[in-house]
Amino acid sequence: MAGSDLIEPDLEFIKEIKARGGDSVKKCFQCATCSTVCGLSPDDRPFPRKEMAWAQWGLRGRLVNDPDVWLCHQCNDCSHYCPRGARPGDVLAAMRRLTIRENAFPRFVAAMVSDPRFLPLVFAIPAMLLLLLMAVAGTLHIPDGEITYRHFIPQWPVVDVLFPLTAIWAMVCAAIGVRRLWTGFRDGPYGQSSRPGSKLRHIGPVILNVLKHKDFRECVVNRGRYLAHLNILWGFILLAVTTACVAAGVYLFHEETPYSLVNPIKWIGNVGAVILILGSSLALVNRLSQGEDAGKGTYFDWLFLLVVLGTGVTGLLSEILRLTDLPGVAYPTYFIHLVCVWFLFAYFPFSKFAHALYRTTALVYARHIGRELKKGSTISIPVAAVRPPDARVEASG
Amino acid sequence: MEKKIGVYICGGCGIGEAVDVEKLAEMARSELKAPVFVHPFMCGAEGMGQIRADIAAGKVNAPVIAACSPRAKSEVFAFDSRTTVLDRVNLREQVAWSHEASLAEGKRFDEDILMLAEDQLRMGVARARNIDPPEPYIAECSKRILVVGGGATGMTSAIEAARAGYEVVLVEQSPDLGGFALRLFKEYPKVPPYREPGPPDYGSLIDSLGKEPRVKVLTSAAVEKIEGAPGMFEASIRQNGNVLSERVGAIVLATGFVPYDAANLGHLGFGASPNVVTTVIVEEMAGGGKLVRPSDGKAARSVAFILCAGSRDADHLPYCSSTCCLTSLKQALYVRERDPEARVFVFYKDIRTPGQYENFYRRVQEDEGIFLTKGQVTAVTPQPDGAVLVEVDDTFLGERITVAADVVVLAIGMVPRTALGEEEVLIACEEDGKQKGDKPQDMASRLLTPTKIIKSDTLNLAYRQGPELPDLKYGFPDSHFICFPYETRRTGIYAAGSVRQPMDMAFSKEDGRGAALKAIQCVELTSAGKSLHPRVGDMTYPELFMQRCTQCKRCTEECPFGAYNEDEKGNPVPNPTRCRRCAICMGSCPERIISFKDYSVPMIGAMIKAIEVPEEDEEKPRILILACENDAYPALDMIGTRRGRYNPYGRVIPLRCLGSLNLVWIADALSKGIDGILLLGCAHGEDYQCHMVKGSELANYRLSKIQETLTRLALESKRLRIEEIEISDYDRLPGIIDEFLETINEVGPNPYKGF
Repeated sequence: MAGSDLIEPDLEFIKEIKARGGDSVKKCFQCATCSTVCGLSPDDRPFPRKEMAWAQWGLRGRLVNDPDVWLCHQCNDCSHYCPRGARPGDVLAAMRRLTIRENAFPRFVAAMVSDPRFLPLVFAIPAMLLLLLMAVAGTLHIPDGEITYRHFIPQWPVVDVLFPLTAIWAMVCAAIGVRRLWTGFRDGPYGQSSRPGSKLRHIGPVILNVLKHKDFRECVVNRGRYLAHLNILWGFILLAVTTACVAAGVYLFHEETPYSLVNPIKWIGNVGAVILILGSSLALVNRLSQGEDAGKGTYFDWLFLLVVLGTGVTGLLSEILRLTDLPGVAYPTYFIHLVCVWFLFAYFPFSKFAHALYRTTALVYARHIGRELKKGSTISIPVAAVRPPDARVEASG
Repeated sequence: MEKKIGVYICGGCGIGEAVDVEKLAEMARSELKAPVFVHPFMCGAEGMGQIRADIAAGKVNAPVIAACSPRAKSEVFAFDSRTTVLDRVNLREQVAWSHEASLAEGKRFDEDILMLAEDQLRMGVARARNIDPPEPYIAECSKRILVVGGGATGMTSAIEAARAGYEVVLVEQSPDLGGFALRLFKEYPKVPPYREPGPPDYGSLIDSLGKEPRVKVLTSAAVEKIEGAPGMFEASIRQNGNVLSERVGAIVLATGFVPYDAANLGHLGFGASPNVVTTVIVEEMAGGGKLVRPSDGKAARSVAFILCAGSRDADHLPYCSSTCCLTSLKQALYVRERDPEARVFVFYKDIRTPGQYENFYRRVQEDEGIFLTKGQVTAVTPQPDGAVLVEVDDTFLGERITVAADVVVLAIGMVPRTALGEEEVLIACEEDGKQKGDKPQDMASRLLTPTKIIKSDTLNLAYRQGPELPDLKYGFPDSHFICFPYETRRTGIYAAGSVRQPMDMAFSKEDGRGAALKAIQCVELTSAGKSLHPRVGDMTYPELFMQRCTQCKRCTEECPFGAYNEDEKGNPVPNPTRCRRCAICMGSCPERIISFKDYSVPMIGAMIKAIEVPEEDEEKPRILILACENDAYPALDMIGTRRGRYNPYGRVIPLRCLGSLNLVWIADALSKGIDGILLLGCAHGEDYQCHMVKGSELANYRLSKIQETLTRLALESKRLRIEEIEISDYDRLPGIIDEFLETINEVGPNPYKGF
């Protein structure tokens, strides 16, 4: 039986896919309309047709190690054109949710974030942590005088200890997740194949493409997502820049917050907050108005989107309330803001946020193994595949 | 009958613009010596009034109406066929509408088109002079219907015929009615929403049948012998050692199928392990409540279905058995319903769940424990532990895969009951049987598709051409299942259900209904002395001038419908109610002793002789076109209605079937100086179109023989051509006719002109 895989379908895996938004998976009858209409799918072993077959057959091992699951940007052209209502876009999204969980370390955190039963706990952890630290620092009351959030949320230990530790936790967990994903890819359907050269050299071009959101522009059915997602991404980037500058200001130059409204750093932060709110609101409207074409939103998606929107809104509100001097509302708002921020940090490798990490990793891997996407995609066609110009001369002569 | 011919020329629908109607009338008066009436609108009240008045006054009893095609307005130009001989001359579709006028200076009409119209009229009058009103063959007919087979098809047929008021005799070989459905645990859904299998529904049919006093049910019975012909079959039926005799008018054959013998499927593991079973065995297992691994009685946790097991396979059954896909999907649910953890694999070539059954496919597909893929099963290997490894190549998963199954199920196909038995091959045309080894004999075996009769002990017909229905393909006794459903090649015997074509119970019931209607048509038309499909209502039948018969047996052998029996001296014994009036026997008879009241060798001969052949120096070639009335003649009409254009040198005579072609006509035409003969018949061979099954093939064969004669007469064989025309080929026809004219022009005029 050489060259023939012994197939043992995993019924549980199929049930998990169905439970995570891929309930239409069994409807596929392998016509490959999805792969044909997909703006990104490579010509060689295209997705999502084969992923649909593997999912129907419960082939867990192949799917969690399949980079193609991440090359999909869920524009849902495939789901729109699917003649059987099998919704490949949603099924791949379900697979990504499962892959995040499979690769997560520690795994129970991922299980917690994706299960609505744990919703109170997910928010209770940062709330309790903050309250505890505030109690320790003795700031567990609405401070008097001009609103200064430092007086409510103490720099030590919240900013000095809690957030750095949370960031380290997120980074360690993310690194383990990425390593597992990469190792998985090497055990996956495309195996050890790679192009010569360091894989690291692909990171730059991939990130550049992500910043430009080139792949999202291939989307036809759900074009609205391009602008929404682009805004969210750039909102996060500007806010990260602001945070870095403020951190540098606080620790290196002993520049105390809040900054003056004319400070350029403040400007960057405000712009970042506005486009984050704008982007996540657009995403929200898009999901609510586009119906099925927006893709099936699960708890996993909604939680993340609402936290992103919540982070932006509470952040901007905190600033406005501070300036309008409403301490009774401003301090609790800022508290909620920090809970949201902690959520984003701490659950980064476990929530939907992890897609930023995993998709980028998969895009690097795809470039590394020479798996090129269709035109207009991040992966350039290898030189060898292009017909040498002298061949054309010969043909015409 | 002494004929009083009257010529009625219509000038309407463009005929008057293309043809000089007055000149035509003049020719008719002077040359044909017949009263002529010209009217610009013959089918109107005035024209018809004139014809009717002439007939009523006794002035005319053979109206020759030169107007539109005989295929048009047949309800208008209708007269009592017992007292009136009607002839229709096609001036519209095939003269006025299909030729480009090339006008000499100062002339209003094209000379060639006029000559064509004149010849058409001459031929029409010649025909009218040579035919007589039909005298229908009316015998004492039974209108009872015999249904052979008591399954879903047969029961439905019997119920429907009885409800329509006909007495039925239903013969079932087993002690119980129900057929194959009795062996089913469940039936896949046949009603909306087509999702869940239910108990097989044969009980309601048995109940309905019980309520029909007109149906006589004979179980544990078999047909021992059937003699006679439609309207007068004598069926001997054996039941419990007694033989009953039943007189019936028509027969519905509904004997169903048997499952393909899995013993032939060793390559799929059958026989190598008890755990390789068939869909039939699974049905029994499920019915007994024991869906387990046969080797050790353990639960069947993993079951693999192999579809098309022996079907669509050149080494086994080359056809699709139509129900195996759905049966396998149904049985996959049996497994899953018993064990929610069980895995069921379905390997198919193509999944075929037509029509609403697609809903059932969807329902099964959505079950998470059922895994479907297209694929080629390359190996089925039993393991010592009882498991069976199934290796499948070319799957949706992208590569060769192997699954370990507790039970492997082979979805076996259907074999019609009529396919079981010893084969007897009849050469349809044993020309000159004594001279075996001669050239014509070789040609016969090359050109003629042999007719195969399988002695399946189903009907046991006492027919000259063999005891069962001729096999169309793979043992199915059909005639042409697309064009003429239910028709077999034995008149009055209609196949229905899975003996006709693989089908399930729902389709079988429909088939039973259809065949019952056919049987009813048969008994009604036959008792009125009328022909069945395709010449429905024709009241003529072959008459044999026996004094001149040489017992050559060609008619008895060539009749595609087995209409002739033979007496002990070898004389043909016609059975007019078996006859379909194709006149193939008339074409076959070397002594030309077979004729019909309105169709005979002399009649066509007279029509050919009526064609006026101009002298050689006039450069007006003449082509005789003998066209099959079923496809080629309507195709010629279609060129006209679509205003196609071809040369006006052809003279068209419709034949009942090209198989009725008698070679003497070729000789008649050539000796008259006609330059070329074009025969238009149907496609023959494996996917034949011929309404009479073998007609065009026989014509082809006969023509192959005359080619030699032509060479002997120093006539170019190019002067004779046969073309296969389907009705949809009408657009090719002008090209064929014009190209043939070119060939004739190249060959030059017929040297016999003027003799």
